[in-house]
Amino acid sequence: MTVKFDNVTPADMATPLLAANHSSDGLLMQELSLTGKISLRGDFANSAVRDAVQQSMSLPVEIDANTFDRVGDGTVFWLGPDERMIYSDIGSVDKHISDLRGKLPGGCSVVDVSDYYTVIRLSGEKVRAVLASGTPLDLHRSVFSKGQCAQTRFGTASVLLSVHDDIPVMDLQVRWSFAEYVWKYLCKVADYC
Amino acid sequence: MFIIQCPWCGDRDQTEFSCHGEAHIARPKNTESMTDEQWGDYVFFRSNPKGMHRERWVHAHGCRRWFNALRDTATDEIFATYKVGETPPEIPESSSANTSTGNASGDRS
Ligand SMILES: [Zn+2]
Repeated sequence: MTVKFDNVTPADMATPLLAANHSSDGLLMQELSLTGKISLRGDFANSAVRDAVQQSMSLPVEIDANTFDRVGDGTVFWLGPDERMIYSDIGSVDKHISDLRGKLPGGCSVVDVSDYYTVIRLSGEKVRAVLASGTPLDLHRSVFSKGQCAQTRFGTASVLLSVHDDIPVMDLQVRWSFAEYVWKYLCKVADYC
Repeated sequence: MFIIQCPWCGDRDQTEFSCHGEAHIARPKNTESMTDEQWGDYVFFRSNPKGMHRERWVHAHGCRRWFNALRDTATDEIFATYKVGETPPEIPESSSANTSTGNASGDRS
């Protein structure tokens, strides 16, 4: 297939698992198409930083530890006291980044990490059992439910887990080069859960 | 399994963390005028006690923040974890004998 780079849609863009999907009893897994991802670091107690992100992307950055918030097509995840991950439409990442860089005060960092990571969406009643086979994180719905996220490990890979619905629907973000390892691990344990 | 309390993320499994030795060692300011022996002490020598020890830990698979922990090296019990810059907690009396009051570690199952 020939890709025209002046009119690329997310579906044209490569992801490490080539949009792999898996379906079995009680479990659906799908690699999502390329999402725009922005690594943002700064002092979020500073109102100038908060205002800049609010104006550029309509997103709040002062959020509780290990939670995320979604507004429109933007999602902001807490990664650390001075670190957030922002998802946006892949087509508007460049615009958001130049916007943020123009508005943020000094001492902040804005980096396009769209192709550092990929995201696997898991849904169905077996999601918790499948994930529990690889992570030590407590996934029980009483402590890990809709709106919460956590960086942890799955096998030996560092991942970002987030709960999008209590059905459950969870997203697993993993580094590009670990994606195949995590995917094979997930498919293998799916047979036993 | 040990549960360690990250000051930012709360209780997490030991395997998300790594330990990087003794805490509260300040880099000397007068490096120009130090003797080789003094510099060697700063770079290589650590207290290595049997008993309570203040250590630097990092939540490597989690928020990737550094923090400090007060751990008994004989029992492996972690008595407290605290953020960088916070006042270190007092060392509990008769620490090695007292293994029931830890607030940051314990058996999960
Ligand atoms: Zn943490």
